[in-house]
Amino acid sequence: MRKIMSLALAGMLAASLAACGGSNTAATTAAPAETKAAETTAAETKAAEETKEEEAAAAETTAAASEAAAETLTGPDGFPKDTITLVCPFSAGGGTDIGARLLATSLQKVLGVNVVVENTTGAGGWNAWTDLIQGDYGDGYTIGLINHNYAMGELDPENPREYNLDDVQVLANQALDYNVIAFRANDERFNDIQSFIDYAKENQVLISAQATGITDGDATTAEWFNQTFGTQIMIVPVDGASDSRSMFLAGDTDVFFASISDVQEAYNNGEMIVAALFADSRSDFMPDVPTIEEATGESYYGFAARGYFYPASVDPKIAEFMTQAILKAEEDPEYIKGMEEFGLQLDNTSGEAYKELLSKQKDQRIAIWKK
Amino acid sequence: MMGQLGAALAYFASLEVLIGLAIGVIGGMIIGIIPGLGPSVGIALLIPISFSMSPTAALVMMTAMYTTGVYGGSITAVLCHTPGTAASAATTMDGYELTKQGRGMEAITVVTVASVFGGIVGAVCLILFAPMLGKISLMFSCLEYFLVACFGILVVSGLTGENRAKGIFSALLGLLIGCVGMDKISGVPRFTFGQLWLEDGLDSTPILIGLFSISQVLILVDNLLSGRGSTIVDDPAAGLQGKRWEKGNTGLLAPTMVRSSIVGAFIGFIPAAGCSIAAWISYSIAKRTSRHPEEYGHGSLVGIAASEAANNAACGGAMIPLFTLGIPGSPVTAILYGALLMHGLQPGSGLFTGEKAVMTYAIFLGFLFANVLMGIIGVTMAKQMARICLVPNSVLVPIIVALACIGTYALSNSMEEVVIMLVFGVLGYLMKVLGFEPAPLVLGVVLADILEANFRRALIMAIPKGGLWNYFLTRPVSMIIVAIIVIFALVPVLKRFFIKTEES
Repeated sequence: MRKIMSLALAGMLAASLAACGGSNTAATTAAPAETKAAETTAAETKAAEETKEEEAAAAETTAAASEAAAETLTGPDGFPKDTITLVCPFSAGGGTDIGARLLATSLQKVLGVNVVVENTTGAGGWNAWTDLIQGDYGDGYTIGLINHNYAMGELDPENPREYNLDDVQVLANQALDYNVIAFRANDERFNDIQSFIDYAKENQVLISAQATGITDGDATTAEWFNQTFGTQIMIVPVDGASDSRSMFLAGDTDVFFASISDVQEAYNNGEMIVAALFADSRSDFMPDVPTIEEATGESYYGFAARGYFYPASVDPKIAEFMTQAILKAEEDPEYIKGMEEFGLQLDNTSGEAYKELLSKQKDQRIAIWKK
Repeated sequence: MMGQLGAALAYFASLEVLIGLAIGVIGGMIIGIIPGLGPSVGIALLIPISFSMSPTAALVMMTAMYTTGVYGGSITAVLCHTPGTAASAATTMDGYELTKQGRGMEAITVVTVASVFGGIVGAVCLILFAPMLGKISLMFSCLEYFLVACFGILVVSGLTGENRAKGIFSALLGLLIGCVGMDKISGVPRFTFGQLWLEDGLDSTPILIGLFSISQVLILVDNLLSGRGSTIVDDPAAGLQGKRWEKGNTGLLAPTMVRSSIVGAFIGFIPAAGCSIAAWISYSIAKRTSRHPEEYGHGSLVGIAASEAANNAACGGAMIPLFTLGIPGSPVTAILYGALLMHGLQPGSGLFTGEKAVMTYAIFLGFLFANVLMGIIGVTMAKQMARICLVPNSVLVPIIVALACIGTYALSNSMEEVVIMLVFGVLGYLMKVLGFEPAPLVLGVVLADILEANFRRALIMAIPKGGLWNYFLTRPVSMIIVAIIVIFALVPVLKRFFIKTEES
C-alpha cells in the first residue's frame, strides 16, 4: 500500500513537471519578460525623476551626499569596521521592516560592511526603544528606527512613556506618508468632504484607528473633525492597518482615515474616493485630491514619518557621519525603486530639521486634545 | 482560469522556483520540528533571503514553508509530546499515546496522510474558489470573530479530561492569563507591573511549549529516576513493529479527513481564527460525532486525522482572504502579506487578472506541490522519524529542552519568553500530577484575545445600529454561527436520542 501511495505521489509530481516542459512554455515565458521590461523602464524613469529632485534638494544641505563618486564612505577613526545592526521595533514583513531592509541593503553598499536588520518587537516599539536608550550602545554600531509613536509616547495619558526626542540623536528620515480621508466609491451617502460632514453631523459614523487617544494620528484627526465641524465620528480600536482596511472594505466602518500608501492602489483602480489630503499642498501620488484646506477652508495636517536614530551616548561625529551615509544610501536607485513599489513617499529630512518634523504634530495634537 | 493554470505550470520549469519549493518544504519541516519555531518565525527568516529572488520563487518558498511548518510541528507532537505550534497541540494527546504504545510509525503516517489530504483540499479551494470566496470573508467582522471564539470555548468542554471541573478551571485560568497586557480598546496596561515585556501579553507559544513539552520532559525524568522506564515507548522491544498503514485505515479515516479538511479550510478562511482553532474545532467535532468518543485522548487515529487534516487545510483557507483582499488573519499570513507587497504583488482583484494571475496561480500551484512533496518525504521518513521514541530519555530530554529554549528565544529574541516557557513547564508538570489538563489552558490563552477585544469592538460598532441586539439581527453570518453553536452543544443529546430510537 505504501509503495503504491508513494509511487502515486511521485507520479503526480513527475507529471506536473513534465507538463511544464510542454507547449505552454514558449508563449508564457515570453509574456512576463515583456511586462517586466516595461515595468523596469517605467520605474527607472520614475526613479530617475525622483533622484534628480532629491539630488537638487540634497546638494543644498549636504556636501557629502553629492560626492556620489566615492565607492564607500569611512568615518572618524576608520568607523565602521564591523557589522552594523538596524533595530526595527516592529515585526518582520511589516511595512516598517521592509523599508529598513531596503535601506540596509543600500547602506551596506555605502559603508562596505554588513548591515543587518534585527526585529525587537513588543510594547508598540517601546521594548526596542527603551533597550536602545538604556543599553550600552554608545559605539555607533547599533542604529534604531524611530517614528511618530516614539515622539508621541510621552503624551499617552494611560501609559506615559519615559523618553522623548531629547533622549536620542535623530539621524535621517526615510519615508513620509500623509494622511487622507477616503470613502468607498459605491457609498451613496456621501461622495465629497462637504456631503460627508453634513451626513456625519446628523448621524454617528464609525472609523477604525489603532488607538483612541492622542498617540494615534487617525484618532486625533477624528477628534479634530468632531471639534471643528460638529461631526459625530466614533472610533473602533483595531490592531493594525490591514484590519482597518478590511473593516472599511467590508462596510463595518463608514469612512477610512488612512495614509496615502494604504489607499494608493484602491484609489488608482477606483475602489475608493480619496476626499481630502491632510497636508499643506497636494500630493504627486494623487494630484486631483484637494487638501483639507482647499476642501473645507480649515487647515490641518497629519502624516507619519519614519527614519533612524542613535542613542544619545553615541559620539556626535559618528552620528554626523552616519547621517551622511544614510542620505547617500537613500539615493541608491535600487532602493528608490524598492520603496516606490511599496508606495512610500521618500523623504530625506535629516538632523535638527528631522527632529522638528517628528515633533511638528505634537503641539497640534496637544491643542486638540486639551479642548 | 484553466489557461492561466496551464501557463502557471510553466513557472515550475524554472530552477529557481523548484529550489524555492524544495527549500520551503524541507526548511519548513525542520522549522516545524523545533519547538517554538513555527512557520511565522521561519517565513520571517526567509524574508531577507527572498529579497533577490523572483516573486514567484519567493512566494512559493514561503507558502510551502507555511504548510510544511504546520506539518513539521505535528511530527514532534506525536513523537515526543512537543507540538511545534498551537496548531499541532490537538494532535499531541492521541499521537503521543500511540507512540507510547509503539505505534509511532503508524501515527506519523496518519499525520502525514491527513496533513497532505487537508493541505491539498486547502490548496484546491484556494485555486478554484479564491476570487469567489474572497468577498464572503468580508461578511465576517468583530461580532463573528467573537462568536467563532465562543465556539472555541465550547470546544474546551471536549478536552477537559476525566475531571470536568478541573478542565474548566484550566480554561478559565487560560482566559485570565490572556488578559495580561495592554487592553486593546482603551490602551491601559493590565497586570504588567510596569514591565514593558508584559505589555503585549503572554504569547501562547511559550506557554504551549512549557505546558506540553517541558512538563512531559519532567515526567520522563521522573520516570527515569523512579525506574519506570527509560524510553518514551512502553516496550522498546515492540517499538517499531506494525505497519505504516493498516488495511482498514483508509476506510476508517477517509470520512473524517474529508469532513475535517472542509471544516479546516472554512475556519482557516475566517480571518481571526487560524490553524490552531481549526484543529481544535475539527478534533472536537470528530469526537462529538464519533460513536466511540471514549477512544479520543487514548490514541485515536481518527482524532489525529481530524486535527491534522484541519490544520493544513486551514493554511490554504487562510490564504484566500490574504490574496483576494489583503486581509491577513494570523501572524503567518501577516508576514506573507508583507512579502507580497515587497515583491510588488498588491493583494486584490489585480492578482487574478492579466499577467499577474499567472504568477498568482503559480504560487497556488507551488503551495499544492509543497503539500504533495511534504507527503512523499513524510511517508518515506516515517520509520526513521519514529525511531526517536527508542532514543533513551537521558539523551532525548536534554535535546528537547535545548531545542525548546532556542526555539522560544528565537520567537522574539527575548529571554523573557524562555523564562515564561520554563515557568509554565513546572506549572504544567504540577497540573499533570494533580490531574489538570493543559490543553484547555492553552486554548483559553489563544481565545482570550479574540474574545474580549472583538466583543468590545462589536459593542462599539453596534452603537450606530441601535444596540447589540439590533446589530446582531443585521448580521446573517452571526445568526448562522449561533445556530451552529446551539446544534453543536446539542449533539450529545441528539446522539443519545438517536441511539435510543435505534435500539428500540
